[in-house]
Amino acid sequence: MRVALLVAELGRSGGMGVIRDWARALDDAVLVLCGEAERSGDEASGRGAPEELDGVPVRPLAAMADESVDVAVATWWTTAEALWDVPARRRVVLLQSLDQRYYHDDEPADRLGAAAVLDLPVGFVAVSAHLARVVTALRPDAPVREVAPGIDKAVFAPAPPRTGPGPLRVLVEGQPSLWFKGVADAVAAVRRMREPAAVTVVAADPEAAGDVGADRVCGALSPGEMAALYAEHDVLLKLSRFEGLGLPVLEAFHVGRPAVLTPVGGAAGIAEHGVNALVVGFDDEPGTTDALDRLARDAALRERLGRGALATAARWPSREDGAAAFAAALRSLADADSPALDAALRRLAHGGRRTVEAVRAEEWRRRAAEWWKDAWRQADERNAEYDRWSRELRARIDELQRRPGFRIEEGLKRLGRLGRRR
Amino acid sequence: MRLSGPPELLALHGADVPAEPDGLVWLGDEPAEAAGVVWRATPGDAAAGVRTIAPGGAGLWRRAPLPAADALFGLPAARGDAGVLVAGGATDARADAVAALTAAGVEARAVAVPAPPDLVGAALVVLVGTPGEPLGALAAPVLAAGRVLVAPRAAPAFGFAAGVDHLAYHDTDELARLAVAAHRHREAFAPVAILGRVAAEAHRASTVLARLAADLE
Repeated sequence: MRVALLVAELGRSGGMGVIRDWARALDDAVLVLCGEAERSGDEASGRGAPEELDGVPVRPLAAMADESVDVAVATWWTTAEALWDVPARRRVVLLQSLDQRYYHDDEPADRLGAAAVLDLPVGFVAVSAHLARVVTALRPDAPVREVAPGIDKAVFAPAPPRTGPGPLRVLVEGQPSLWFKGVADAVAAVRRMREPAAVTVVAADPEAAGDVGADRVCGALSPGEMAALYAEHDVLLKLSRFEGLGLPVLEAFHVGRPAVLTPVGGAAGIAEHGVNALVVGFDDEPGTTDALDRLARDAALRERLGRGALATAARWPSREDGAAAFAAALRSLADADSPALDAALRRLAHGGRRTVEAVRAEEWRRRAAEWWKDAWRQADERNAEYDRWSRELRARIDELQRRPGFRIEEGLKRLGRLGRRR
Repeated sequence: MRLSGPPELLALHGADVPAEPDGLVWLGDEPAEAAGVVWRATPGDAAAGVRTIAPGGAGLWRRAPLPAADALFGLPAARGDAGVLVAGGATDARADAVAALTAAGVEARAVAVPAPPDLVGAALVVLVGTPGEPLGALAAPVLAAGRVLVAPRAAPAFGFAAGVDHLAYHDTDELARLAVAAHRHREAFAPVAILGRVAAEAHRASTVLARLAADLE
């Protein structure tokens, strides 16, 4: 089975790591660079696109026009438009997140573009039960397969927890520049703790992390370095607003470290409150700090949750199992009936209406903001004008009051008033 | 843990939890009996000596909106003739919202706190409130019921995402525009309601209360 995986970059993000792993395990795969990456090559390395990556050939999209494949797989929403530029028997979208959640609601174009991918007449591979449920709810007509990315059990192996005293060592994973990762909130939660604590932030691009207020910032680490980092810490803190799966939580579990995390959909069925994690509400500042303080005070709780984490990890598929399941899912989708075209087209048509209404609402918002800005500017100009008149009037009065005639007249008036009093 | 509170709040925010004599959790702003935990519907400071949960305020034990009753997740989809419901906020504010909707050509009904049958009869629910404040207590139940929610732009939003799982407004004009668009193009906005119900899972009463019970042990 020949598979073309359409990618927007070849970088070191967790999502790209899964794609590289899965591509390597397929019999016959090609990584196809789409969009900006096709033009500029691999931005991460600053060089042109490599010929191959981990033994998997890399091709620009343009080179695939006459090269047919069994399955073309879009791996990020911007690559979905290329699905029909590759001659393929079946087309699939790999969902590692709900891509629309990457954008704020004042970015309706990207957000709606990302959402539209879920309306396409394709099959879907979802990396978590949560994402599979979302697709099924939105697209009951579409074929969906759930494939969990495996963990490299040789690299992410149990490490003994610390036994001695000391501050709670908290690891926060996430790129601070991505709004939904909640990295700043996580660091703030540690800083509010009553118990002593030290916090490390690990990011895919530590150069772009900015000043997050952590004791240490690191990143761009290899899997082995990440495993060592989990082992150096007592707990993983993740306050993401959403996660398709949340691989770092699973990696930490494999090392035997519990997590304090928000109830993101991707962690459902994996993180269990009081078993392997402490689950805290979204935006619950006091609850998060309380959870961290409890862990700092209670070594037995840390140990119990760590044991729970290892038990969850033992049930999780290995890297090889995950890759094999992905290949099986693609084979299954390739052999299945074509996705229902009418249902997808109907969804696309209605999605177009939603786009129109959302963009219209954004235009109104911007126009209203412009109106207020203009009203403010006019009021400001009017104020400046009144101010100028007032200053001119004051100057004119001062000038009149300085004239000899005015002074004589004022002197005579004073004399007259004195005379009347006498 | 024992759950208590006004019946209208229990219908929207409660769940069947194993009743135990100790550890009363009161849902609502004004506890009628001595409670170990008071979970306020509106922002407010912690009561002295009482673990207080609220969407905002000082000295809180937890910051959270009231959860969504489990039963609401099972409500059927809105009927074709289902209307628009305006809820929450003050009477005047609800009347203003209804007037704005009427002026835009959409009839709406107003209630202070909707009962589950009110939600069954609605396809879209407009929550009245002040933008910039924490998301209102009614948001999670409305989303759990699978209804399109139009709510003030909130901070914090407790994991909900404006424009993805609900629609958010800055002012009454925007409220009316969004509500009219979503009501007139129901199939186009159906994914918003679906994603709203998915997002409300994080606030499912039985899940949240089980966590609370574990923390109280």
